Amino acid sequence: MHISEGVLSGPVLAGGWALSAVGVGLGLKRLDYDRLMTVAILSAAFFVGSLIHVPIGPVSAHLILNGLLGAILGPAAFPAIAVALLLQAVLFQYGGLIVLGANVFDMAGPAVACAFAFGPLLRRTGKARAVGAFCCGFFAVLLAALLTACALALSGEGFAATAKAIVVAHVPIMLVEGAVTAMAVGFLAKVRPELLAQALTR
Amino acid sequence: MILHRIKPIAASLALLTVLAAPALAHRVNVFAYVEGNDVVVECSYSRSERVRFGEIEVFDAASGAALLSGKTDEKGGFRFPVPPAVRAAKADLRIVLKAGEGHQNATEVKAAEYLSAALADVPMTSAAPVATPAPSAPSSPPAGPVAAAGPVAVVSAQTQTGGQGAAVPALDAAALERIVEAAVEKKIAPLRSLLAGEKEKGPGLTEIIGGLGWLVGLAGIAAYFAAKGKKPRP
Repeated sequence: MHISEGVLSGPVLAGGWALSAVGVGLGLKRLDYDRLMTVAILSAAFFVGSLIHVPIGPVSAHLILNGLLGAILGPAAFPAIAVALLLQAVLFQYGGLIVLGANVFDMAGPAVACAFAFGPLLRRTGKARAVGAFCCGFFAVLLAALLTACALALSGEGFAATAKAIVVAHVPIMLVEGAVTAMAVGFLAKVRPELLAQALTR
Repeated sequence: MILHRIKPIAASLALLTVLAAPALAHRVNVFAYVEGNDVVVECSYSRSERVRFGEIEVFDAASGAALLSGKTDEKGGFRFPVPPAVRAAKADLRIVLKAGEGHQNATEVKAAEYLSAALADVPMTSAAPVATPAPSAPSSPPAGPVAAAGPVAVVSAQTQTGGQGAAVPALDAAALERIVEAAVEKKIAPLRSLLAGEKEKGPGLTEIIGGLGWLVGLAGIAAYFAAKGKKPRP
């Protein structure tokens, strides 16, 4: 779901940068020293995640893992995703530098939104937590697909057709990410519960 | 302490890296080259994954004027003849691929590329009938397999006009150039596709490890400054 250079119009690009700057700023403010390494490692997971690539019909989709970052990092997912996307743009030519703002917001916005929306579920135990984590993974990808379609629609491509194409292509990804996030959160809750507690009580 | 805390995440990350080894790129590639009178465009996400039915638009690189458009076929290929007006103006071509859902890339074909490749056909049709009244020569296909058509036409030209000695040196120079062009074109075709394949390669291990290194480094820098702000030096 990396939008390429030269597709979006000027105002959309500017809007993307503005929203992402706010998100990264807030994320950094909420990020404390003890969690720096966790953020870096999840950022690395996001960075590598996009290399696992699933061909679906005429398009090619890949794991995104933004829901997982949201669930564990909360608002700090914003800077984590921004840095990972910057490196992907520079090293892999995924997306580009000018569209970076829009790409960051498309991925990180839904991650943080899901973290807040499903936070109450994630703080519980057992099945409720698993459901919350699955929803985090699932809806973060769904929202990211819709936001990407929005950005494209605002730049001239028809919303309905684009949204349909992106969402349909990502349904398997949503399910996989939901499962991955549920497993990761369940695992962390057992092994390192304070990791989750820190992210979600703030 | 921190190291201990991140162990599970590090383990899953290592697993991800292993899974990613044979991974494919998520970027669209567009590669164009000239074959005789045509420009051939190849579009792919990766070596094995072609952009099927992607939109192709061709522009004049200098003026930005739209020249033609079309869709790639099942194999991500698209082929179009260089428009005569473009050839006359010696304009560079800019080929834009829109693979949909925000994926786009572009490439350029320089005028010099199609002019030199077309040398093989264009003078052939005009020069051959003048020098040789042989029935086979004038009907040689202009955009067909150049390497096959070239030698036939020239051999017949030499056998027919050789005895009379008229216009032989001029014809030979032009004909030789055509033959060489065609032969070179044929020889380097596999190299071209090899280069295209190289260009389409996804991110290598170097880039991946480099990126991870960057992330760790950035975290280190952030940790340094955070620690400095927290506990000023005694």
